[in-house]
Amino acid sequence: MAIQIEPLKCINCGACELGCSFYRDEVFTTMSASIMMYREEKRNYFGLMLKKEEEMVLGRPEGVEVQKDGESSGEEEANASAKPILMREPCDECKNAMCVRFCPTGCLTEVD
Amino acid sequence: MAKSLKIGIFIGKGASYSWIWFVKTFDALDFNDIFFLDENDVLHGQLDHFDCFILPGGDPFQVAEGLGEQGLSLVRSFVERGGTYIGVCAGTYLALRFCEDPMPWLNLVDVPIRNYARTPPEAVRMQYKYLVPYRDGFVFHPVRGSLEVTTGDEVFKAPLYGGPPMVAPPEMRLLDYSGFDAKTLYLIDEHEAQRTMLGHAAGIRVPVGGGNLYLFGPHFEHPHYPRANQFLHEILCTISPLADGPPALPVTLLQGPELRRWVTSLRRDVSSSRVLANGLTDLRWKIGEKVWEDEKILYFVNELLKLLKDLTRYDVLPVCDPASLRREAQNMRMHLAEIRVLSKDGMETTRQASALIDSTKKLSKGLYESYFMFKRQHWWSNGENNRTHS
Amino acid sequence: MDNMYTEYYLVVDLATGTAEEIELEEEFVQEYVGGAKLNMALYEEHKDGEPIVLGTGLFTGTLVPGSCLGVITAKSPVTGKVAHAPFSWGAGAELKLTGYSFVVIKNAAEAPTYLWLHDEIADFVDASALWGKNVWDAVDIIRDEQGEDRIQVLSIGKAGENKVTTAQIVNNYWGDGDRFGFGALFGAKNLKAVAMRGMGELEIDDADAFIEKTEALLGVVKKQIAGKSGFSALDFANIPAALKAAAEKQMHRVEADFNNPLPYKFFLKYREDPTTMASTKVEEPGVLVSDPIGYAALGAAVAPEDAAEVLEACFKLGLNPVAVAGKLTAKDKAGAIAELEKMAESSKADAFDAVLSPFAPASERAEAAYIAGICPVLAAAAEALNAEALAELASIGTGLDFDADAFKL
Repeated sequence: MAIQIEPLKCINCGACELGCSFYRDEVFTTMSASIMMYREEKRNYFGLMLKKEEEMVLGRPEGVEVQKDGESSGEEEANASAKPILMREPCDECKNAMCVRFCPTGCLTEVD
Repeated sequence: MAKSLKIGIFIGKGASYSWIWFVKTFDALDFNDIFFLDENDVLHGQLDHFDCFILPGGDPFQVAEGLGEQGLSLVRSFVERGGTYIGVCAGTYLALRFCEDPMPWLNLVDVPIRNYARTPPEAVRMQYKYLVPYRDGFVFHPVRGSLEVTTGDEVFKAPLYGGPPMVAPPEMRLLDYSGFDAKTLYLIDEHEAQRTMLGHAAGIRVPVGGGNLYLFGPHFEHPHYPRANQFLHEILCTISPLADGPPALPVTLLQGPELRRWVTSLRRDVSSSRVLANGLTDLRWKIGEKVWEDEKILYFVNELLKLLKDLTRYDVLPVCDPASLRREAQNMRMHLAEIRVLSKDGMETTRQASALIDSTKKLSKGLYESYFMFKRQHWWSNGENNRTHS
Repeated sequence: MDNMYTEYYLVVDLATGTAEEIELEEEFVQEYVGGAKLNMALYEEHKDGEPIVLGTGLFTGTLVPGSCLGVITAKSPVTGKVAHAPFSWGAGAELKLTGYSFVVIKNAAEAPTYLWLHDEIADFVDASALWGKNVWDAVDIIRDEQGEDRIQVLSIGKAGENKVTTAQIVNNYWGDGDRFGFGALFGAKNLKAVAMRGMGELEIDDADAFIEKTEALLGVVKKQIAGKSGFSALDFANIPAALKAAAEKQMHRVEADFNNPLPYKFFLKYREDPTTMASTKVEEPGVLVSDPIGYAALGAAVAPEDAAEVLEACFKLGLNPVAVAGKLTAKDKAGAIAELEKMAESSKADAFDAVLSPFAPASERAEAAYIAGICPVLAAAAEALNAEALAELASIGTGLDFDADAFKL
């Protein structure tokens, strides 16, 4: 099951981080989640980053963007074979995902 | 007896994070004579003191470069004189002669691999770490992650992160790749991956001179795979412990408040590094031929912090060079802070990342050295009294 | 500790620059549960050091809906009594996950200091360069200095530094529930801020049963708050229609505290088009209305369309908007902000009588929420978050035995 993000439904509560971390470690922490909140607090710009095995899904308020591993943004030709960094384990696309179950707004849903 | 094996783990140039898996697994299996070697130790003849030399995952090009012809020759003679070489992934490639015109590496075992081709199959994902150029061809990685291996009638799981499928004669074969599972990630077409890998050797044993080479594709040392760890344990149990171990290093014995102050100062920097590392997003690094698994930097930092937390409960600890470890912890924090600042401005940070990995490695090495020294020494037998929290 | 607390709490002596870790014993948790109640016990124990106690509730930082709450307990210079103010947003959970569920801050530092808590480490950091800085700048500097934007900061502005009783402790950039002048206590202690990064973990006694119960509770809570968001969640704040109308024109997005399903906070933009969703070069486009009652109070003092910007000035100066709104005489924005600058140098809050901050509706459920670590605004809106339900959940999560009375002050 893959996770679908509807960024404008996000209220930045972080329940997804907490849920995913619990799924991984059976403790409450925000540290081991594959999904992570992102916030520029003073600008009130916030969204979610979902690390997948080979891409990063960025749920930005202006839309969802998928950053493929190894994609270069142009100015970084020298490093074209490197990948974006988010120091988390990738999402294992578990079924009945905690991130979805505890998301209070329906911002996250499971899709086939 | 096997528990007194003298085991040297290579953590020098080119070794990736995965050596920590060996440390954790060996520690759990109660091997205490664990030592850490870099290219300089090898060049200074340290291998003579070990029963077993582990060359873990990483970048074989950098390992070969670091060891140089002299270091590689010393590794060869270590095996010929009766030593046991265990190679995983990079350590396996380093030992194999798999094409007609091999790189000047160890080249001790003439065994072709299935994932070397002039025109490799097309990647379906993870282009960035699918292919490594080697001479006039490419080493490609058909799959990653968990898969199944078979030894005799037994099937178990182990993770693969770039290791080869080998075309070896039956007398060499210890286990074969026998299947994929739901967590296997296909980097090429699934059928092509099956054709390339299944039924071919995942692990071989090759006698050379008086010694043996054990060469593995998958990471049997990965702490999340207990049966694979057990397989490794069974191999270690076949090795006779003959070596005397490296000469004792001069140590400072830190005790009581002095030890606590030292550990706290390290914890402060390592924790700050963890804060900084967590704040990093959207950076791109490639170091040598190796693309760093970014989450593993955090793994290093987290493991260090756990170890330091454990060490806060000790009342005494032998440390080789407390001041230099203190500096490495500070360096680690400094490199991360630099990466944070530079990356904010979209600047290149590969040099800093390389220095960060170096500092992290040195600090981990030093702390694990102390940890195993403590485990080996006589004060351990005094029981838990010396470890109680005060 | 498999009772959702950390192993230790911390006692900080600012005068000596020392911090002592003390084991958080199970008997203590059984007797005082947490939050305001346990804070109070710690306050009494360390009374001689004129302490400020920062504490978390039993459920703070867990998956229990609304588990964002931290509680500041100290003797209020406004009421003269020991009182409890909430800190929500991300700071409550962050504090617990630093490894210290409770922090007792005693005595006063000789020079401006900020306390930096991370991974069971308490650092005393020189804050002389921060002293005199407004709250927003101080938060930016601390985050830059320590290297992470997720660091949560409780800090004071000029008002706190000047020990005026209209001061409040600000939570990152946004005012929170301190109506008690606790900002002045930070100032008296030469404490500019407490910065926190929580990377720890909390263990649960019967994790599977706890998650099952929590998920079911979330389901009920979601039904009870259905359709509530922003203004519709804020009946208690009595926001007048004219102010709502002005706010609607500046409305950007609603949002929530840590694990709070009720997004009652909302962000108003007045320095760029409020419909802008992208991150622009405008660094400070507006303000988070984190304190709806404070916003309503300012809306009665100045023109409705200016209330948000005046609220921002309060947050930057570390002033409690409720305490200063009634003292404003200027009706124009610039005049009001100039008056606030003066109030940050010298002003006195009007005395009132309360032990729990009148930041959220007072009720039995609010009392339980202050002990449990649940957002009191959510608790007011969701009947399911009552003492009985919380006691049952607490027993499952801790392996201890709690009844509804445990969740009364």
